[in-house]
Formats: sequence, C-alpha cells, structure tokens
Amino acid sequence: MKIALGELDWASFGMWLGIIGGILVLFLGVLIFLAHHKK
Amino acid sequence: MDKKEENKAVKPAKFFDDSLFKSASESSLDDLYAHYDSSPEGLNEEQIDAHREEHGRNVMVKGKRKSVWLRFFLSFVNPFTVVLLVLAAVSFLTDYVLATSDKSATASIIILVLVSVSGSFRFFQEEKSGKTLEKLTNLVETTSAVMREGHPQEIPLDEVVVGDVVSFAVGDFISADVRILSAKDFFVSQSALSGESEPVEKTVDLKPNFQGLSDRSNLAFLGSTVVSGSAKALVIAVGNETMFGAIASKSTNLKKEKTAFDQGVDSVSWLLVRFMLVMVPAVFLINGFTKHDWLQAFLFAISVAVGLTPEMLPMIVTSCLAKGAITMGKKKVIVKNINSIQNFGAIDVLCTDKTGTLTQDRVALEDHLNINGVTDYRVLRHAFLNSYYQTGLKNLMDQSIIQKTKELSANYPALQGLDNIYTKIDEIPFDFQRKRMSVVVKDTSGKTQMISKGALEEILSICSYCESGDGVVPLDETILQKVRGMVADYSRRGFRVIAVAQKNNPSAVGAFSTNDEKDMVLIGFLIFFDPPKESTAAALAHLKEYGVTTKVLTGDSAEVAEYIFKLVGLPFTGVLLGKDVEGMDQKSLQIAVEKCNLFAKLSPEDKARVVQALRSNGHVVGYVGDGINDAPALKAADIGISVDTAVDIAKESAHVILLEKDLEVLVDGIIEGRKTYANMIKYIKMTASSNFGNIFSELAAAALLPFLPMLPLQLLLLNLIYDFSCIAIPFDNVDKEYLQKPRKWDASSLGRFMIWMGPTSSIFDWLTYAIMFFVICPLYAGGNWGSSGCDKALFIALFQTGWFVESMASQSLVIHMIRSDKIPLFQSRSSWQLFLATGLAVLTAIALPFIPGVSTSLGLAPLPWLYFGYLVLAILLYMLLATFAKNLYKRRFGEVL
Repeated sequence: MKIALGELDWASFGMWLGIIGGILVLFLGVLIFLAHHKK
Repeated sequence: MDKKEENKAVKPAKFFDDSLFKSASESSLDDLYAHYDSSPEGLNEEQIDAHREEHGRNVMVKGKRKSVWLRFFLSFVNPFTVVLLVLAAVSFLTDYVLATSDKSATASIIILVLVSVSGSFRFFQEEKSGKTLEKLTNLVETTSAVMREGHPQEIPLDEVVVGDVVSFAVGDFISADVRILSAKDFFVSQSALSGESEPVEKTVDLKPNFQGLSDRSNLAFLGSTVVSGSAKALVIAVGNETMFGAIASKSTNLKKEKTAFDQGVDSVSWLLVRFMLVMVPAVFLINGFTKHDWLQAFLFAISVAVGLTPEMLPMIVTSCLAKGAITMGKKKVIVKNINSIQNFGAIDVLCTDKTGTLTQDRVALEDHLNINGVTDYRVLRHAFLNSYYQTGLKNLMDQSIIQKTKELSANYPALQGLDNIYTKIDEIPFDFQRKRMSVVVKDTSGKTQMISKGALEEILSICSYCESGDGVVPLDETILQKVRGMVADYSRRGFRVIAVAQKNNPSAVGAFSTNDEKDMVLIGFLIFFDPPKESTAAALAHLKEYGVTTKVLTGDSAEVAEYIFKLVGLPFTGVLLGKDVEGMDQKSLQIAVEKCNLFAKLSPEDKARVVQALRSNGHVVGYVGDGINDAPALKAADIGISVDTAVDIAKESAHVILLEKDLEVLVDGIIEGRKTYANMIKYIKMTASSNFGNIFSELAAAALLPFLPMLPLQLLLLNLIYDFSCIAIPFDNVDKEYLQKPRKWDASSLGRFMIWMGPTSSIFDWLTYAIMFFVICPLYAGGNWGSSGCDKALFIALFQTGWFVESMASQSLVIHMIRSDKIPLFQSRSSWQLFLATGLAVLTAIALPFIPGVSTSLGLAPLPWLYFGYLVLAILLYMLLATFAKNLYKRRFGEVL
C-alpha cells in the first residue's frame, strides 16, 4: 500500500455504496413483489 | 472403393435430359434391355462397374462440397475475429510502426494467437460434430431388391446402377428412375415429386393421355413410394440424372424449415442484437465525449458489440445436440435430424402400435381351424399357397404360416411338395382398403382356384358359402353368428384371427381382378399369438414415471389389444374404434382421444387423425411404428419413431430410428433428449442473462468512469475464455428431478429469466467498480484518481484487471448457480468436466496479470492480496444474492431451467 487508509475518499465511496445498495434493495423489492404476486 | 474414388464416382449435377425418359418409355422391352446393356437376369460384375463408371453412383450431390481449406477459412469469418484483426492492425500501427521508442509487437502477436485459437477451435468442433452425425445417419441404411446375374439380392440404395433389374413391393422406395417391366396393381405415391397426393397406377404399357413425364404410366421415379402392388423395373437413371435429382439441384436455394426451437434461439439472438444496436452507439458516444479518445471509444464500443453478439451460440447449441445424438446413438437411438432431440425430450404422449413394440413380434401360428373349430390341415394348405405365392411384403404372419407348414409337412403328406403341385397364375396384393390378399393357383390337373386371406369381417364380406362337415353350404345368419362368436372368444384371449376363403375357376388368366373377390367359400381360420415382451411392463412403468402417457393405436381388434393391456399391466381407460374415429368431427375426436388409451381397428388415416387430435390438444406426441400403415401417423406426430427393420416409407417418415424395437430403448432416448435440452437451455439462459447484465455494467462505466472499464482486447479475451469454458456444458450432469417431466420449449421463459437474473451480476460489477476506484487502486497506485501522487497508468491497469477477474469469476460462477434448481455444490454438483473448465477459466483470468510480458501486452497489472480478499467476499455475496433471486424466480415461475 502506497498511501494510508485515511487518505482514501471514504465519503464518495460511501455515497456510491449507498446508491448501489439502494438499487439492490429496489431490485430485490421488485423481485420479492413479483414472486409473491403470481398472475 | 476408397473414399476418394467414391467421390469421383459421384456424377456432378448436369442438365436433365427428358428425351432419354421419353425414349425409354416408348421402347419395346427388348430394345430397352439392349439400350441399357442389361437382361431379365440383371447385370454382371463387369456391367455394374461399367455402368457405374458411365452414370455414377445413385446419390444426389447438391452442388460441390466446400473444400477443407475453404471450411477452415470460413471458421474465421465472424465478427469476433474481424474485430480482433482490426485491433491487431491498430495495435501494430500504434505500438510498432508509429512508436518512436520501445517498439513492441507483442500485443499484435497475442491477438493473432487469439484469432488462430478461436477459429481453429470453431473449425474442429464443427468438423467433429458433422462427422459423427454423418456416421450415425449412415447406420440407418435403406436397401433395394435387385436381380444380379440371375440372383435376387438386397443392396444399399446408393449401389443401384443404371441397367439394374429391381423389384418393388408395398412400402418400398422407388430407388431410381425406372421403366416398368412387369406390374401387378402397382400404385405409387409421387407426392414428393409432383405434389399429387393420390396414388397413381404404374403399368408395363404406356397409357395414352399423359401430359408430363411423371404422368407416363410405365415410368416410376426416385422419391416415390409403393402404396400397393408389386412390380419389376429396369433402372434408367440414377443420382443426379434422375428427375428428382434435377429438381433437387434446382432447389438449392430452398431454405430448411425452422422448428419452434430454432425460432426461439433466433429470437434470443435478435433480442441481444437489438440491445446491442442501441447500446453500442450510446457507449461509443458517452465514452468519446467523456474520455476524448475517440479511437479507443470506437474500439471499445465494437468490442462491447462483439461481447454481446452471441456468436458462439449456434456452435454450442450444435455441440450440445451432436453430443446428445452421439449418446443416443450409443443407446441404439439414431436421430435423423438433430433438431428433433428437443422434441424427443418434450414427448408427453407416446402412441405406439401393438405388434412388435408391446409384443414380441414373434407371431406364432397356434392353430388352423375349420369353421367348426376343429384343427384342419386343409386350411393350413390353402393359407400356405396364399402366403407362399404372394409377391408383396411377406409379413410375420406369412412367414409363420410358411414355417409351420414346412415343420408339419414331414408328418402330413397333404402338406408336402405344395410348391411343385401348384403354380401361381395371378394375385391381388394386400391393401388397407380391402384388408385382404388373394392369389390364383393352378394344380397339376389344370384346376385353378383363388385363395384369399385377411381380417375376419373383410373375408366374410366376400363369402357367400362356407365349408362345413356337410360340404359347401350357404353362409347363413346362424353360421355367421357361430363364426363371429368363436372368433370373438379367441380375440378375448389375446389371439389374432385371420380368415381363409377360396373359390374354384375364377376369371380367365389376365382378366383376374378384385371383382373376382365375391361369392367365395369360407374354409376356416388361422389363430396367431404374439406374446408381450418381458420388458414391456417395466418400460411402460418407466414411461409413466417420466411423465409420458402411453396410448396404443392398432389395426388389430380391440379384444386382442385389451388382453395385451392386461398382460403388461397397462390400465385400460377406454377404447375408440376406427369406425368411431371416422364418424367424429375434429372437436369430438379431441375430447375422445383424451379419455381413451386404446384405439383399435384403425386405418392408416385414422391413426394420423388420432395423433393430430392429440397434438391439437397441446400434447407433444411421439409415434412408434414400423409398417406402411404407420407412415401417415409417423409424419403427423411431433416425433415419428421407427425401427431399423421397418419398411422404407416408415423409416423415411420417421425422425428417429431405433436400432432395437424396444420401449426401454425409447425411455433411454427420451431421458437423453431431456438431458441434451437441459444443457442447451442452460447455456442459452446463462449467456442471455450475463450479456444482459453486462449491458448495465458497461453503460454505467461509460457514464461514470473517467477511463474505459476494460480495454477492447481484454473484453474480447474475456469473451474467448468464457466461451472456451462453455464447451464443457454438453457434458454436464442434469438433476434427476429435471428429467422426470417432459420439457417443452418455451421461448417466453428466456426473456423473463434474462431480465430477472441479469441485473444481479451488474450489481456486483458496480460494487467492484466502487471498491477498485475508491479503495484498491488508490492504495496501490499512490493516491485517489486525479491526486498528485496517483500513477494513472497503474490505476487504470489495476482497475481494468480487477473487473476482468471479477467478471470472469461471476460469469463462470453463474453457470453453477443456474444449472440446477438446487443449492450448487451441496445439493447438486456439476460434472467434473464443467467444474474443471469453469475453474480453469477463472484461474487463467487470475494468472494472466502475473505472467510477465503477457500482462503488460494485455494491459493487465498484478493484483494485490487485498483484492483477492474482496473477490472471495464478493463471490460469496453474489452466490447468496443469485440463489435468493433464483428462489424468487422459482417461486413465481415454478422452475429455473
């Protein structure tokens, strides 16, 4: 490692993780809804 | 003859010469023999060689076969290799020609190696599949009866030469274009040639009022089949010189009809191509505007296009089918057209004839009775004369009558020397309308008599008298009732009963016809028994276990079939007779076929109607049959199944040929069909869903990243390694549970699977982007992107390598996730071949960045241990998410594959 962990852009990382997590939750939500509401 | 000489002997397609046919049709028989250097005794060895040399072998060649080199070259002509070659040229230009220092052509060389590997791989796979399939189809041989040097013999169809004297019987193929030498009620179907569905009569003499060549009554043509009667003929044209050859060579542009499965595969390919057409310009423009390197943006967009093009799909599908066909071949099931395999696994109703499939096909003559029910050798003698002298197809009953007479002749002088005492005068061959056959014989005293045998009612319909103990008496109602009662009793006990009748001095020689079949004398009955096979009961139970309902379609009486049902333990649900089928409209028949599982006294057309009714109800119907009477039903079924020993027309109408007529062999075939389908659908679903997922990953990367997420070359390499790992798919295991149910192709399941599972991999691609961009790359490249200490080149190489490895791991892993409904590794394991192939693919992706020289040429960088820690975690999470999504999919749609 050439730099310390503290020098990383944790804020941006956290924001993107949040966005990806949000999409994941949304995606799973749709799947769960569809799985429990059969035609 | 070796293969080279054989190919030479095949005459190329040439202009069709109809004057040859006209002159053959108008010549006298003597002139004909002289012109074709032949004789009534047939050809000798010398003539055969000379005629083959002059006219070629009896095979049709549509144009010239592409040479090995051309086929090899064509394996390289696809978008994948074209893009790789463009990349090689660009990289050679930038890294070598235009480079001022550090000239290196390594990247170009690596690309050329990739091109060679992918092209050669495609070539060898396709050659291998083609050769094995050719070998398999060669196992099923059609023969022709010819006279050579005075001896009748059966030879393969392709060995028939011009000048051969050939014989035809019911169910035979017309093996070449022929001029008729002698014929008896000889009717052929020329539908393959003229489209005419009604059989036409062929005679020795040319009847007037013909319009075209095919109307000439004394010519018969290759591609026709014998519907009734028998004939001898002289071959006047073979192979490409035949009328059929001329039509075939003109119709090379005719496209093969696509099956529902082909259409499904095409629709998936087109869906992906449509996505690609929208995606690629978007990726190109976004990358171009954000990264300002338009050449790289263009190459990346093209690589994305190649990655999304399912260019390996047809090859993998063919490999799966070829592998299935080979395995089925080992299990004595020969698939004539590999596209039928999918339908084979989908069969949910199996219609079968009784004789030889449920029973032993060993029809034994148990007794020969007069109308009082007493064993009578006179009945056997008449039956012998009928069976011995008829020239049509000698069925099992005829063979059994002849054999029994020979056995008994040692003890019964009345049965001795019959073939010397009687000479044959004439005959009326069997057909399915009359359901009987007649021969006319003359004894040494000059007395002529006509002997008819056939189904009871059909014989009774032509009898006015009967022979009882008191001599010949009128056949009155009392006797009829007695006779019918006796026959019904035998039928109920599983015996098949054939009636025999005779009459003296019918019409004069030459004037003999079906009109003579009247006012005959019923002399007795023949009692046959065909016991069920020992394996039938178990095979029927297996079929039921695998979700296949068996229905029996027979021309025989319902009583005999019902008795066999009892013996083999097949529950009887109802019977429908031929006359019922004929009287029903389509709607009522569709309802009735669902309730009944025995269909008796059926004509060939009735059998086809029953099969069609079942298909209209949504069933995938398999039909097993080997007789000429089965041909319409074999054609009407989704899968026509015949046996190697069947008549030509049945073999031709069938999609699948069994080398052994046994239901157990069929069960194996059905299971193999389902396995092949499962593996194929696995690949299609996997490719569709991972390609769909990649679309989101690449779009997000183009929009958000300041550089390309992967180099064009890396993207293509990833694609190549993945495709390599997929060659093991045809060898994968299939869960037992999956094989229990018939599998019907459902194109809609593909689209929904793609949309459901694809985004799961995108989510992990995005997670990898975030981890690489914000954590791993800054840590090892000296700072965050854009900071002063950051080594940008290393940052990009690390990022691209990280996604390269993760992408390979997730794509390979998804194979194990979706190959089964169960939990991978724990509940359901892949075959070692697939495990090894996917494992090697991941290991290759991991190893490449660590190989000095190769890694720099590919733009990859060695990954730190921290990355592998993330990779393990990401893979575990991905497995968890994919399993969760899979279970939700299962909950909504029932099953994964």
